[in-house]
Order: sequence, then C-alpha cells, then structure tokens
Amino acid sequence: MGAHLQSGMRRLWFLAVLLCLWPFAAQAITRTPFSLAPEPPQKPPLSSRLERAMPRQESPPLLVVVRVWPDGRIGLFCGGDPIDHFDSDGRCIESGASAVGNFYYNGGPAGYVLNGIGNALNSYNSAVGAYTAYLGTLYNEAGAMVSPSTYVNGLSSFGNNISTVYNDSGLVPAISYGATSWNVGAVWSGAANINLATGQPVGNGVDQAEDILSGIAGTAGVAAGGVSLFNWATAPAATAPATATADATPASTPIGQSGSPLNVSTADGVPSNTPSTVSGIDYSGHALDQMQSDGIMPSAVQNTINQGQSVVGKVAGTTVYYEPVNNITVVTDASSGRVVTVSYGQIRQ
Amino acid sequence: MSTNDKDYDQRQLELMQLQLDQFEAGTINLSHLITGLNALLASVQTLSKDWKEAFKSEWWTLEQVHAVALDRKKTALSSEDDLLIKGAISHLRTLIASPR
Repeated sequence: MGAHLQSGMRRLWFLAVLLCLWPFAAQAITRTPFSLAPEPPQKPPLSSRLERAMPRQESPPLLVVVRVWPDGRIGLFCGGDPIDHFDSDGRCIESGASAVGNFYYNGGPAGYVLNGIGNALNSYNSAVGAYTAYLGTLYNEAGAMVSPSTYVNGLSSFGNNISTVYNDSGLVPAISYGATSWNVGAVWSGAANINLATGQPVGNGVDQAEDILSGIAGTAGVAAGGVSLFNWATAPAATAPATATADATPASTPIGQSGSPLNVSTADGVPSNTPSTVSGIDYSGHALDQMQSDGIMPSAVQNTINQGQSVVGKVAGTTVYYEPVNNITVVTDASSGRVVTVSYGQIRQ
Repeated sequence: MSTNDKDYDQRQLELMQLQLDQFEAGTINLSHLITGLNALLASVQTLSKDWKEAFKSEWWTLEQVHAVALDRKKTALSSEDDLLIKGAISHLRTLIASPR
C-alpha cells in the first residue's frame, strides 16, 4: 500500500515537472535557435487574471500560466491542440498552422466575434459579386432572413432577404434598394421561379438576373398588389402564374415617396387599385393608391396599427392610428373593417 | 435660402389659395383639392417644418373625409363632412396667409 502510494506520488511529481517544462520544450522545438531575426513585437497580455496579477516577464521560470477567458474557458494552448499549438508565451504564434488559434487568442473572444463578422461579409460580398459597388454597405440579414415575417420577405428560402440597409444615410428600410430589386426575397421566384410580369417560368440564372435587374421582381409590384398575390410559399406553383398575372400590378408601376407623392388615382378620383387583403389586413382601393403614392409598405401600415397610438377618428365610425417613428397615419373604417387611407403626417384632432 | 426660393414658395402658396377657391367655387372636386394641396405642400422649400406639419394635419382632415366617403360609396357628403371640410379649409387659409 505504502509502495503504491510512493509510486503514485512520484508519478504526480514527474507529471508536474513535465507540465512546467513543456512550454520551454515547445519553444525549443518551434523556434530557430540563435535567430538574427527580431522577435515579433510583444502584444500586451490579454484578459488573463493570473497574468494581470503576475506579468509573464516577471514570472518564476516554472510558473504555469492558466488563461481564463471572459467567457469562462480555460486554456493553455491554441486551437484546442495541446500537442502542436501549445501557447508557451501567451501570444500563440509559435505554431504556424494555428491561424485560427492565433487570431483567437491574440484578439480574444471579442476578436473572434469580429473575425466572424468579417468572414460573413466576405462571404456575402463574394456570393454577390455583381453588387460589389455596394461594398461598404452593411446588409441586415439577421433574424428575419430565416423566418421572414414582413411581406417583402414573403418566402423563407431566399438568401438575400434584406430588411434594412445601413449606409451613409444611416439605417434605412430596404425599400431604398427597390431599384435593384434586392429585397424581393423569394417573392420573385423561390420554389415557383416565375416572372411576376409574364407569369412564365423565369429560366436559367442569366434570365433570373435579367428579371431582377429590370425590376420585374421589385418591391413596387408587391406594394401595388400585395403579398397575397405573390406569396407562393403555400400555394401550388401551377396556380401562381394565373393569380399573379390576373391581379398584380406590374412591378414597373411607379411609386412615390415621402415628400414626393405620386398621384395614382384616375382623373375622376376613382381609385386605380381594387380593394385587397395584404397580410391579413383589408385595404380599400384608395388606401392602396395612397400607399403607392407615398411609397408606404404594408408592413409599415401593419406596424402603425399594432404599435401606434389609436384615437377615434373625426368621421364617425373610424379609428385613426398614428405611429410617430415613421410619422405614418392610418385610418380604418369600422363599417367595412378596412384600412381606408394611409399617409405621412398626423391628423389634427 | 435665396430670394428665388421664397418667390417660388410664394407662388406655391398662391396656387394653394387658388385650389381652395376653386373647390369652394365648385370647379374642382375634393379629390382634386386633396391631391393638389399635397403636391404643392411637397414642393415648398423654405417654409418651416412646423408650418408644413400644421398644413399636413389640416390636409389630413380632408383626406379622411374623402377616404371614408369613397369606401362607403357615398354619392354626397353629409352635413358633418361639410363641417369638417369647412373647418379644415378655414385653417388652411389661415396657414397660407401666414407662412413661416
């Protein structure tokens, strides 16, 4: 029993010595002895609690440094590899093959996250090389891309459902990219792969690109016709063309914007749009005209109804919703249950 | 803000006034008035944000009456509608007379 205990203690002591000497053995293996090349600049130590308490340069020779990262991980080596990527001096540069570990440990978790964002943007820009002119613009594809809820992102299969765009003007709705039809999502094709204007199959990738760039799949068409006409996520593809071509206003239909309204009603004031239901909300033809005129999306109307302040309207039987962030007013009529008009600004009460 | 800009806005204000006159004279309908005022409001350049918001607020009254009438397929406006329209036009005239 005593002999076993003694043997065990010896093994533990040997293991401890091995652990303490390992950093120097690793350095000896991976560094060129007596190199004339200058040492790489030393970066300040990262968030090692022990390093803060006892800087490495002043450590006793046999000190084993245990790194404790902010996220709770403890590590002695790069890239999860204790054999080839041992982190002997905390900079993790000795192992040439441990690029990931090198980056990770030099930048810490924050650097790792930043690297991830950079990689994502790299991938994105590579995947959409035709749009390199927009490099420097950040596209918000998070969240809604997977399970889009807005009408523009009618389907979930499209990889470029952009809900907002951040550019020199700040964060703006993706409608600003309507001209390039970038935020069409699978509304344009998806499983159906159908040209909204012609109702015919779009064809190969070149044809698809032409249709996108020509605006056929632009947001204007969706704004005018509503997603119910275009959302084929749950509809058989065979029925989609007839539905779309029968009711949809062509995507080339112009729309106005805030401060630059476009008159879309007919000369005698009769609405040019017919009443429609978009995302479960009923709209009068005039309301759709107004939305087209001002460039207001159904999602913005829905948001106004859900999030805005509501008051009794001046006309009996109406309710007025106002949403101050987008400065949009929506009027609904209880008698028809429809949204009867939409525009910017706030009504005087 | 140049003299030209102010002259330009003054012309838009005069056109607004003209639209109101024509509506009250019965030469243009409510739809025409609403569209015209909105377009003219969008074109002014030197007037303050407060003034434009106040104008739009009055415009909204006209728009609400018109939109509901369309949806309800009214062939004539009710007396309540008339009161709302007259009140809004009165406020619009006041705003047009005192641009800032």
